[in-house]
Amino acid sequence: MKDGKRVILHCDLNNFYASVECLYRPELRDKPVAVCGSQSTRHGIVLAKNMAAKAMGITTGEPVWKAASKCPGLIAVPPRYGLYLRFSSSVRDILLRYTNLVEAFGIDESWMDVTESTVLFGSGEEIAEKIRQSVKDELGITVSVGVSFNKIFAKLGSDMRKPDIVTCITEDNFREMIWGMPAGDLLYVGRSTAVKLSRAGIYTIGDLALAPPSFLTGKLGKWGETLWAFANGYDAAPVCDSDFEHSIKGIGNSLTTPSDLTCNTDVKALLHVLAESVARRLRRHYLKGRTIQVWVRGADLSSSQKQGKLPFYTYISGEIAEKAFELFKSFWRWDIGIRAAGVRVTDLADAEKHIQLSFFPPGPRQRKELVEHCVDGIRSRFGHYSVQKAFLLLEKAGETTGFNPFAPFRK
Amino acid sequence: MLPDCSGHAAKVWITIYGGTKACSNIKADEVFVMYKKVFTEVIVRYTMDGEKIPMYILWEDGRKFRVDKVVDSRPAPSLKVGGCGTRYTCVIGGREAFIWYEDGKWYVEAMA
Repeated sequence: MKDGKRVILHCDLNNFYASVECLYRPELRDKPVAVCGSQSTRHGIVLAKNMAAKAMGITTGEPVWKAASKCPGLIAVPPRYGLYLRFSSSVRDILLRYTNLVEAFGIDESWMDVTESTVLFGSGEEIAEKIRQSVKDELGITVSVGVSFNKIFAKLGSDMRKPDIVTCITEDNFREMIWGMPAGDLLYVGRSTAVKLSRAGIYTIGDLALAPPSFLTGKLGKWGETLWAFANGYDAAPVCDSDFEHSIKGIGNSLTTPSDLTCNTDVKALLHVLAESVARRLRRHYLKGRTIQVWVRGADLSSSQKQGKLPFYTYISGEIAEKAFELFKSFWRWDIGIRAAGVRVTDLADAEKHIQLSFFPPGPRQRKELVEHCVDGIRSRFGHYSVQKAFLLLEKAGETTGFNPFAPFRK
Repeated sequence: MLPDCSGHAAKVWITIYGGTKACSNIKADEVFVMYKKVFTEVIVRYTMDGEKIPMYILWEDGRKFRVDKVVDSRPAPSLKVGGCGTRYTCVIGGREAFIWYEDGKWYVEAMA
């Protein structure tokens, strides 16, 4: 890398979930393996696949039945998130040997800024090689590493060649290496943007780079210019410190139920379970929210949602659930059953502020807050199911939701 | 039991930790070994720094093996039987052997 230029690495764990499963089950290593959600609870999609399954045309996100029809010998294994989190954390520990500037991008990808570390550990490529080797030797899984002078090209580098390979994209060679790739390969160019670009005659990253920025702005708005800058290597976004936490805009949870919901009672139970999870996460981040969104997916996979404002900021699960249920009743007509639902709280504020303090003993809302904190304490000591709302103990409600929002793998 | 490897290009199946693996083109003079993951009881000494040093391995049939020396310990996977943890390279009865410590349990790669 040239002097004065940043050295950015992007590490991508290859077929992460499937690699971990194959590591723990050597008998599966040379067979097509896919890590899949449970079909009985209607989470039956492919979460990850190994190289053998990939060669059979199986793609991430497709339904298990479709994957099985493509590859009759496919071995579907259930996910073990706790194990994957442990591996993810171990990989992060390896990355932190070289810099504190490690920014996670999902469970299996991270950016690193090693500009200052090159003095100690060698060039970006040498550091990338050391990381690749350490991950393989210490954890038994493989990582592909992209080395470049910005985050976008580093990510392209790690995606370009897999598995277990280091790819360097420099200022001198990025035009030859990248500009011939499809525009859809660029980070932040999604399916609909790719379609818009192809309609405008832009098929490759090179086309995007050479198009006039004003033309792109006309087609894509503000993003047009940003994508043009990315394609030309002008991305200057910094890699966040490993301790940095993004400011939270909203907190939400959704769930696909084991069977379709058919009445308001079922939905109320589900919304309460989701609201409890959301409220607890709000409290954990010392936040309160005022806007409640409820989202519903019907049995025909159509989605609808509605949002409404509370007159106060809250992290009380009951208030969130009641508002969500009120919103739900205002727009859902029960022509069809419900397959999935979600609750989200936005318009967040610091929980320590926006409180109307009372001169007198705590009012009903403050008492409710105290109860919620007390429930949090009990659950953290004795488990999520140690204390529950009475109506959730009904067998029907348990069947409806079947959901422990704080199973160990959830943060 | 080792499968019959007589003749060239024979297709045989070997058992590896609860499953089977197809092996083709096995030559008669090739040696191959089957492994299984065996969890063992281990007597461990904790140092004042909190380090764990295995002292004895208590085998499932009641035998007790003394660990003469721990040569190395490092994070490493067990590719033969599947696993990933801290791998201790130990000298036992004059021979080097690996013991893994993972999630509070000890295991070895044992011949099936």
